[in-house]
Amino acid sequence: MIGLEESIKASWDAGDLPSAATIAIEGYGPEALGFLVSVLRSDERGGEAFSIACEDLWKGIGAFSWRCAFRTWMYTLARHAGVRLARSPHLRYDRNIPLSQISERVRAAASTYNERSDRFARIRATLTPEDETLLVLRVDKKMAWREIAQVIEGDEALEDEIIRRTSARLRKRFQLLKDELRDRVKSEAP
Amino acid sequence: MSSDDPERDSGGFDTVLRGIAWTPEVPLPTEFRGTPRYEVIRRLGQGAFGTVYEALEMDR
Repeated sequence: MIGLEESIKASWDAGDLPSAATIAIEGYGPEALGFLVSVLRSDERGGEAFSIACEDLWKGIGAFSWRCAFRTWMYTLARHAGVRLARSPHLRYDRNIPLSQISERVRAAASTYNERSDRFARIRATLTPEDETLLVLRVDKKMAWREIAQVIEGDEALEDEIIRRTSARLRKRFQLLKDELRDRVKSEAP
Repeated sequence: MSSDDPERDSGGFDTVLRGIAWTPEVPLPTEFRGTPRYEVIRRLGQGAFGTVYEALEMDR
């Protein structure tokens, strides 16, 4: 069975960039959109950031270096779009993205989670966007430190030395974050 | 396995950590129904670059 990365690469190698982009967005889009909606804490803003990320993907796919997995690049674009949107609250993109439908789907997907995990959501809401991103990428998305460094630095073709230094910094921060969360969970225990 | 791997945590904290970090997967919309600005009249066709709709711009 051909994996998603291989399918994208095969289309890319054949020069069929529209197919490569479509396969990537269909394959990695649901998790990237869920990530943005969660980190931006708004289904509408998440949908907007996702639109920006998709547009960046379409524009940049021809120059993609393949020095990281395509999934890592998708998250790099998604995070970058989320940060841009968060820094420009009035930024609005007028494009053919059915935000109303995204909202419906986000609500449907998130409702089960919210019902069973108010406690988790409450703890998560206290995290900074940087810490939340780190936690999600490492624990939920199971990314390697090298991949997380690329996403956080916003560059899929980072030099090895920069990746090494950023990875070390992020690992240290993650350990502190875990310790903080463990203490908080203990203090909230009945 | 690295020392910060959540799998190494005991006492159920790894489960809590995964609960805090969990994000939903959101299925992408498959059919465009329009926006407040554009009312979709009909779908004209679909190609490699996307789908083309006939739409009415409400601001005009």
